[in-house]
Amino acid sequence: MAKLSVGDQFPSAMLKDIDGATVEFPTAFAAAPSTVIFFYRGRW
Amino acid sequence: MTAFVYEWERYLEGKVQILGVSVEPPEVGKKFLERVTRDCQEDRPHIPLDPYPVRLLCDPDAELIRAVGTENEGHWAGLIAAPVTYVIDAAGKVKWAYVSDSAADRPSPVALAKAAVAIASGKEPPPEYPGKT
Repeated sequence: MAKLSVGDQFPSAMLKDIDGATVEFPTAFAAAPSTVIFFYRGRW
Repeated sequence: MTAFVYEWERYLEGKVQILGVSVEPPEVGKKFLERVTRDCQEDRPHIPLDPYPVRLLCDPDAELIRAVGTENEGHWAGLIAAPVTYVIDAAGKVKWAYVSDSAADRPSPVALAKAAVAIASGKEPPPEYPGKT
């Protein structure tokens, strides 16, 4: 699958943070004027 | 990531939220956050980054990672997220992207901060700080 690109709508998903709180996408983006989201494995 | 967060006090706070997604369990995420918080405090003690302003999310089944298309199934550790960074507006639209060649290839902290702040202000990312696709 192609990676998400500029202009695309972020997909819907529901995850938990490391403290167990639920985060729902894309509604989570409404919490700030902009969001930096990075995908990683254990280190930046 | 640490260098990017140094921009936080300067002009990100209140405008930009920072989220990180990986397949790793919460315990690993907590250790990671403790380590980078400690590194920040030792390196730049005048910047109040405790707690570190990044919210880490767990995607153990790679549900979101697959939906975004950033899965790396050929890694020796199993399925992991390939390193990709996005800036998203409040409506959930991708406005800036940096698709890394490797874990060591990350966007410039200044470029990322400039893009994030421009988008938070309702502007387009500055063309002199392009992403990478």
